[in-house]
Amino acid sequence: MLEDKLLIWKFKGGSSEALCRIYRKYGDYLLALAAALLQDINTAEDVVHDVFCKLIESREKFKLAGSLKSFLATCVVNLARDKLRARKLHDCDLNEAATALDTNNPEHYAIFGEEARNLNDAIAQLAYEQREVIMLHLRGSMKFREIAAVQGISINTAKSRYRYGLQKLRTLLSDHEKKNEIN
Amino acid sequence: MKSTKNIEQSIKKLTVEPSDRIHDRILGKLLRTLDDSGRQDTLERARIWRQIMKSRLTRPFAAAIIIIGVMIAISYFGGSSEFNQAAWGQMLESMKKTPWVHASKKIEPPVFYDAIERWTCFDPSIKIYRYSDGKITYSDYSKGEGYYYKPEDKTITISPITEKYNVPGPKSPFEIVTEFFQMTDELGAEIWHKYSRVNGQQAEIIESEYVTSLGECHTRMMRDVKQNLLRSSQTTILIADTNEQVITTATYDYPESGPRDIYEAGAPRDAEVIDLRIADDAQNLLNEVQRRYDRGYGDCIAMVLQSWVREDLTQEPWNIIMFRQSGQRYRMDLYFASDIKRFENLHDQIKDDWPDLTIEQVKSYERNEATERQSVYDGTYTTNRFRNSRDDVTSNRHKGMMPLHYGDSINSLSWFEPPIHGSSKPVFKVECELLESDNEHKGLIGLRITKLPTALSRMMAQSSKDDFTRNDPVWTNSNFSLYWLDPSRDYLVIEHIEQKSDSKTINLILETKQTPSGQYYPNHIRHEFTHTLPGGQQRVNRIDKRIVLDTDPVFPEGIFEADYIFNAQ
Repeated sequence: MLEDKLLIWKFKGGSSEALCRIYRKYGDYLLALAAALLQDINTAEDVVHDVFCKLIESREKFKLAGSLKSFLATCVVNLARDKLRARKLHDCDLNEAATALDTNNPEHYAIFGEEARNLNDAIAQLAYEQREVIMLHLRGSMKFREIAAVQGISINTAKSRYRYGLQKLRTLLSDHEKKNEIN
Repeated sequence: MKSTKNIEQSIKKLTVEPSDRIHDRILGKLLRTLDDSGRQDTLERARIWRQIMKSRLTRPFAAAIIIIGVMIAISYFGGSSEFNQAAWGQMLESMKKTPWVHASKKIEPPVFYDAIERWTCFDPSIKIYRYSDGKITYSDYSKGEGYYYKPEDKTITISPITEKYNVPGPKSPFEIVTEFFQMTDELGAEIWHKYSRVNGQQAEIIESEYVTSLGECHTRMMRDVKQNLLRSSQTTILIADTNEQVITTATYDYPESGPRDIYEAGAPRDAEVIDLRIADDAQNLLNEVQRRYDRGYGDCIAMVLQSWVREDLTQEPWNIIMFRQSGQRYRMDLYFASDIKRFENLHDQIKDDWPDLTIEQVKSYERNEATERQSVYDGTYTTNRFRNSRDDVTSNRHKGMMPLHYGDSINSLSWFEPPIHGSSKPVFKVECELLESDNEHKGLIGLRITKLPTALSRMMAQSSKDDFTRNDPVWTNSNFSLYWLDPSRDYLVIEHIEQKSDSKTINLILETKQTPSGQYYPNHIRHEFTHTLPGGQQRVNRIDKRIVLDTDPVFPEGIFEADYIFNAQ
């Protein structure tokens, strides 16, 4: 936390070294988060790039109130939503937007490890809001209170989305295992 | 079958395995972006610096700012002037590396206080002041808490604070540079230097002379050459009106650690603590409301058609608010819509379609001459204009974002701005209480906020120069607001009752709508204001508000500039 504050402080002064350190510290994590939300590594790369660009543009006025990791994760979530919306889809269609992406394309396979593919495919089938809560909580280490703030929902709704999302994942993975056993 | 815990663990371990090329690509682009932005900053600073060196000072500014400002300015332009700029630049770097800067300032003759101590750390959210009369303020803006020690009654008051509307200024010795460059855009100062020995130590002295509206100023700073740190500064102002001389002297030291709380800043441990912070459950709700209020509806145009409601419940056009938001910038234009002769108005254009006008219609009717009030925040300054007559307009400009009046923004019609103080010295005592929903407010959450006067608010009223403020009961009487919020509709304030000693206001949302992304907003509001006339008679005014919201707006270039002219020919 203190290290992040110092990095941000130096970054605000225009230090490229501080930017590199922030990026190296959180780049992997943010890319994984964006990729999981968007199911598309190219768009995820754009999102992470745009998040940092915005940080650079607004660095003089930027004030870090909480954790830098949570702040960057929130930016990724918001931009990921924008990217999906940019495909002229309404909120209710966000689910389709992500699952409609070709999860079987070769690039996707190359990016995600073999073991993780099934899990990723299952995550892609979740409702977008559920996916967001699960990824932010488990990958983003964000508390439900923080997720509720990001999504503009109550803490209980965030918890419900998380619980139902995990249940659905469990069912999807179990179905997949059964299919494999039959084959 | 995988257990839920296993799935959670797998997701935690889930990683993307991007090639290093992806990261290199992103980082490469980012460094170029940072480099480009830095180059622009440097060019801008160089331009301003040239102006500083050419011209005399023409406007007032705080002496303290030039002290540090000159020092920081030097750090950006090493090597081209007669004195050792590079060394002063390095001094700033040395200061930046110290975790705390402790400044002790003396003022002769005393102005409010004769001495002030200030601690500044690299975290600009913490500000600590200790005054010569024993008062101490410890503000932690990141926690939203302010501590105020008052030696007269040996009390420490803890209150919620915010710096949202504090006029942005230099937050620490290290952030003054931007402020300095902006101010010195129109200014100049003569600067010279010399080497000397002070208390046996080699020192470099830098001096500058300039003129403000207060009078002639002279600033002298001393750099410890060995340690490469600023050790002292002194500003002398010869006040032109009174021929009086005021000398401000500051000394600096650089401790490894600063006060961690108000006690370490000097408040006695046995001081009585008055905790004005709000209980957790109510505070959580206030945070929720504040977050929504701040976020609003993103980029949007909100049109509010306000009608007077006559006693027979018929309505007549009163005014139109056009509120526009783009990022942090906003503009609010309030137009006359009633048929009044004294002012330009939009009555003829709007009367046939009232109250079913569209945003596009009103946009085509907008003209500056028909505005009653305007507020524009361009990202740096807020400009307000008030029309007194057809040809007479009063305007003022403030640095930073100024809060809008209730009803001027869609955010304030949907939610409210929680009453949190801007400094550690609270003007009012605020009590918040959550209320159970009753039969008339099923499914709603109630919040009662009571504002109680304090000795400070009474003193502010008494010391005011205008009669209106001095006699305004808001400073001396308690009043309360009752909010009923709907958690199922984005916490919209469905009903708001404000009770003051001589008036009562009720706002009621009659109808809501949703944006394309599903966010709720009020579509129809009834506002009722009951007040007592001098003869004791009660009077009720009713206003009907119809709101149209566009969350996918296109803004013409320059519309968030204060001087933008609508429908210019």
